[in-house]
Amino acid sequence: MRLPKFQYLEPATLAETIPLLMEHQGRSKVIAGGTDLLVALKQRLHTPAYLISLSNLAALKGIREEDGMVTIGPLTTLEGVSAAPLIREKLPGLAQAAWEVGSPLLRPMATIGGNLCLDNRCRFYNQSLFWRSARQPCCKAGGKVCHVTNKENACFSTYSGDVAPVLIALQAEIKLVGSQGERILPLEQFYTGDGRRPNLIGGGEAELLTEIRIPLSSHTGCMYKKYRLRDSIDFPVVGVAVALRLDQPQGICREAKIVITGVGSRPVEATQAGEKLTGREMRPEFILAASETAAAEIHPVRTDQVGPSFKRHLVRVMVAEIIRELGGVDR
Amino acid sequence: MKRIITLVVNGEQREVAVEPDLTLLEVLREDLGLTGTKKACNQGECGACTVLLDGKPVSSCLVLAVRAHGKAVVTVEGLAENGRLHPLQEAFVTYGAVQCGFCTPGVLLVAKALLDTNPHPTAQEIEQAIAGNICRCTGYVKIIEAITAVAQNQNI
Amino acid sequence: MNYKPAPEGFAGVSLMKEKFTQVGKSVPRVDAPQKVKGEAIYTGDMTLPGMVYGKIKRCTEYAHAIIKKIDCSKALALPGVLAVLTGDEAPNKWGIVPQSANETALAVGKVRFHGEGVAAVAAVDEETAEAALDLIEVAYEPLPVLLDPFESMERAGEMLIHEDSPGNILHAGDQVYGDVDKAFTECAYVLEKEFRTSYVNHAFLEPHSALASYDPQNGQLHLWASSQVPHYLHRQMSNVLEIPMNKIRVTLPTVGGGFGGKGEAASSEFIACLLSRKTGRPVKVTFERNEVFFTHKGRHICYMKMKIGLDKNGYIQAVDFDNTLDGGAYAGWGVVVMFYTASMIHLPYKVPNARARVRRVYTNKPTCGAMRGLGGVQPRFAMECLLDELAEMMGVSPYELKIKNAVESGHTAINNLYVPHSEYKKCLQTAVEKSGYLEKHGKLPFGKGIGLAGGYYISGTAYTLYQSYKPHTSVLLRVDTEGGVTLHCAAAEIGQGCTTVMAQMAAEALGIRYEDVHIVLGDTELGAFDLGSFASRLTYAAGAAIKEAAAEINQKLKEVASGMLGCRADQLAIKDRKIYSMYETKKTIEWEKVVQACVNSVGALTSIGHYSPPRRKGIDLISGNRVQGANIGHSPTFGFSCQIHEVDVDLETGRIRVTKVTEAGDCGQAVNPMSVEGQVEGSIMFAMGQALYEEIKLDENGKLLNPSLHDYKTPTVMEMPEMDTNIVDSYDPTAPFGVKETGEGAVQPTIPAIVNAIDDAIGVRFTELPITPEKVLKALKKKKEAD
Repeated sequence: MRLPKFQYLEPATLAETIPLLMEHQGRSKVIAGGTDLLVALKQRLHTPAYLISLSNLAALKGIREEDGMVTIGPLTTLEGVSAAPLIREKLPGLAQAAWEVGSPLLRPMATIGGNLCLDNRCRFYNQSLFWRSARQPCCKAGGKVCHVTNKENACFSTYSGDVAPVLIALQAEIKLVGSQGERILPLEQFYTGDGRRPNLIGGGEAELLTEIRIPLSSHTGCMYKKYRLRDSIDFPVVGVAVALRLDQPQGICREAKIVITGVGSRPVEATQAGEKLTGREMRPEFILAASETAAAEIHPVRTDQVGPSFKRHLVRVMVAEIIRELGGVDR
Repeated sequence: MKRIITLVVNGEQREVAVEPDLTLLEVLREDLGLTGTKKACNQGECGACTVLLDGKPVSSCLVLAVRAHGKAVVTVEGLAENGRLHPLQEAFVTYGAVQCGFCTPGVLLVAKALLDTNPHPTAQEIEQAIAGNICRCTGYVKIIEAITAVAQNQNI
Repeated sequence: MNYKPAPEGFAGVSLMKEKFTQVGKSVPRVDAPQKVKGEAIYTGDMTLPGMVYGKIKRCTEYAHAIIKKIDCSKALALPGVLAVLTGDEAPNKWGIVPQSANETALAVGKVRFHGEGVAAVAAVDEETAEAALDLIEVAYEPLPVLLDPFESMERAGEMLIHEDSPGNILHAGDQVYGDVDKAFTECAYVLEKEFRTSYVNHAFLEPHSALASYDPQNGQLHLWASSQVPHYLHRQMSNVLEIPMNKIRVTLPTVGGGFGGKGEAASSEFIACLLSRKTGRPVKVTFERNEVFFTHKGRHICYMKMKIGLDKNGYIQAVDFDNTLDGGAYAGWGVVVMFYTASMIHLPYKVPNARARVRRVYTNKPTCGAMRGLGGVQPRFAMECLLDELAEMMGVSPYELKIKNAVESGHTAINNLYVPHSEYKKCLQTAVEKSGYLEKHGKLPFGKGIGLAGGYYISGTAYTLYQSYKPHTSVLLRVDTEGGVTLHCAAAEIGQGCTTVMAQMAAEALGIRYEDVHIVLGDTELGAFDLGSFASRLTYAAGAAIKEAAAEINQKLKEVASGMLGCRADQLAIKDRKIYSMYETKKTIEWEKVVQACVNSVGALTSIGHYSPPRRKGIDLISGNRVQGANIGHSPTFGFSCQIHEVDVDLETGRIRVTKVTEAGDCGQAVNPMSVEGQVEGSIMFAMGQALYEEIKLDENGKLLNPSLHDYKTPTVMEMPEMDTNIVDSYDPTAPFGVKETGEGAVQPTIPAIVNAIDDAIGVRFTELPITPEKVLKALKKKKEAD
């Protein structure tokens, strides 16, 4: 399958990029690493007239630390993120998540920004044009009905990025730049929960993700675990990120953020589960309560090869496992 | 609209006029005649089309050719030097790591990238490195043996 | 029971284990250097002057529908489109089994599975061809879609998938040997269970590709194709195109894996040829990955009921087997696979009474066909698991039960299958000893387990698929002073390593080195006849043909050398590139000098050797009656093996990991032990995929849900267990060089060994594949509730 025809634009600076986004709004796609987008283009999920490449925007690459904040340029590759000594030392959960994306052949191209902007997936959507053409287009493809649930005007496609859960758990913020200037918002607000248009800029908005900021003081430990059917190549069946702030090692939990991927139309924060831990010691009964609560807080539908109850079970198991490991609690 | 891109392919500078919708895989195979790079899934799921782009292994079916402009590309054809096989190639032959040969170019390049940055990897590091390459013939055992032999600088 | 004595070894075959210099060595593959350099040319890598591209329009809408109308006019009007093709232009039916040939190059009249080809285009480039497909308009009238074989049989009165197949059954057969029912009444232990296998694809890495060049001036057609069966492809092309075979040449460039999936003709090949004839230009058709899944021809889904009875001492008294094979839309290899499943219950154990009732049913799915170890994998799964459970009932080790019943050399099964040679017991012993099975089985902590299973496979067939008694393999040897030694054979190297093995065997037979032999394979014009790479036949068949051809060359050389050395030709031997007297060691001469003398006097030496398998009949040994379909399963000899798998079941996530595999195989004399290991290691991963990960999924309308290498889960290196493979000391004295198969036997024990290990780990006996984490968790929950 060949790529569709498009015009390729390579702005040299951010200042040049925004007007291009404006000019071609609705008929362009932004390409960073391209590892997700090119598959989508081959499958004709999109047929943009223009591809706007960010490859020349050197300012959007790189990792730095200042004032207790790690700043990552969205064009930093996932391999770059996972291998960076700073990330490995201070944000090992993030390094782990970046390392778990796809396969070693994708991570040198794929960018962290691209991963945050990963489009939602569904077994009825991520198929060739030939395959999809047999049915009415689904909601995500501009049609009326969701083929998973048979509901109208609702898309249940699943967010399956590995990195976002960790960053949300770490209370990261992102910077979006558009023609109206820039805005900074918590990463969780970037995700809409609408499978058709899962994030603020994926629908072809004239805004660009330009910075990811992660406070180092928000947590004392963070971990990501990914469950997939094979230990390489695959998207997560379920991925769980947990960031804890303990007052001292094995002490009282002051804050717990549990964020899960692969279970909903956005990275899902299990807020009630987090609250079950807040103000508590790392004891098995609280961990159990948190994991049970997390499993109850998610509402997966069958958008891949795995059933909802299995996903819920995995969340229960994985949340408990991570918290035990972070809290230094034996089984 | 076609544009001229310059690639350093296997050490040789090449200029190619390409449409922006061509992948690096297509340009290598169709414009440069380097058919050693294989197309098996065309969606970045199998690793058969792996090449080294500025030293890093990538699925060339998911790289726009225009993105490779100014970069160094190594394909399987670039591994042997002056008719002498690269030690990895030698080891793949000697250790029986080749059966149908369709995954072989990709695996060789991944292995080269690994050993270039980490000359003495552990068995686990070797496995992790080739985790994006599907081989349906060998069961991977002899591929790992071959890479290990080179890493340990054994007499191959 | 009455066992027949072993027949004499046939002509030219030694009964003694020979001392070899070329056979038995792990020499590197002769095709490996080209492959590591990226210089090996696969069909998809080829271009010819003036070549254009063919693409197939497939039916997306329905899995079963009448084609009302196909309008190609818009596609034809697209600039760059040279031709369009529809099914009615080539309505002759093809199929590897001539009696049931029912496929056409493109659908004629109706489509029977989702993704079936309905039209094709040739265009100047791929983009144009793809664009043209979208312009072809097809009108369908949908028909009921039958996806379940039982429903298909039940609703056959209402809807036939093929008009000429009543009941929606391609074929059904009963094979009864002895008195099974009576035997069961006398058994001390009887167990019956149902099993179901899954819908799996070969997932070879190289998608099908075909390049055809038709010369309108002389009517010659040259087809380059990624195939395992150039001969059968050749025959069928002749039939579909109505061109005599002698006007068609089939050439195999390098082939990127087959595993049975390229074991019959493919629509790519017909379309390339038809479009080339239509346009007068070379046409290449290369499948996208999803087309590989749509055209499929993978493993049959089997719904099996098996019952085994043992006497009080644990000897098998009877096996009763019922198998419904879901074969998908067309016949393909179906009848053969079906009767193989019936035949496979007779070995590797002594079974005095056996009954098989089998039927192969049409459904509206991509067709099932041949896949590595065809017909064996499914009944093996049932039988090895049942025996494990029977051992448990008896309170003995499965090893004890299996070795007690294991066949030995000279065994004749009740269906007249004759086993000239078996080291199966040695396989069981070796694997058990090396794995520590007896110390571990039943004693590992909950969640960890170890499982044993045995298996066997044919080393070639007794019959061609069409009524012909010609030799199955011919080898032409040419020895001269220019080309050296060249071996010509139309056999198919698909990655299994036959080129190297044939070079080793030819060198052995000629007394020279394997590097001295040039092997020319995979070309119906250059090569002498060969049936193809399937049924694990080639090492044995080529070995026999090589021996015969080499004997003639050797005789000529000895005659010339006898004059040069001054001694009788029958006292000469040839070894290590020397011809020498066996009695006067001083009388020796360089092989090459004798060749030169020969060539100088009479010209190049050539000889042709043939191999025809012994044609044993499938009869009931007790009554002497012919049994329908029972010729299938006979083989000149059989390979055996045992695998012991150790698994780790994650009780929380249900994930199963195979941690270690200990294998011991009887492949006769290993021609190239390194290649044998490669086959075995590959087989284990291949079958492990079917056991734990792989399954083609369909929606309710028969549409494939996962036609990609991301969604179809072939194991990666991360799933690889530690492997300890062992070649047991073996030599089949009736076989050329003592050889037997290894390419398909090693897939047989994997699934039941894993299933038995899971039972040892968690006390759950799975009977349906694949055993996914979800199923494991459900089973664990159920078990907990029951306890």
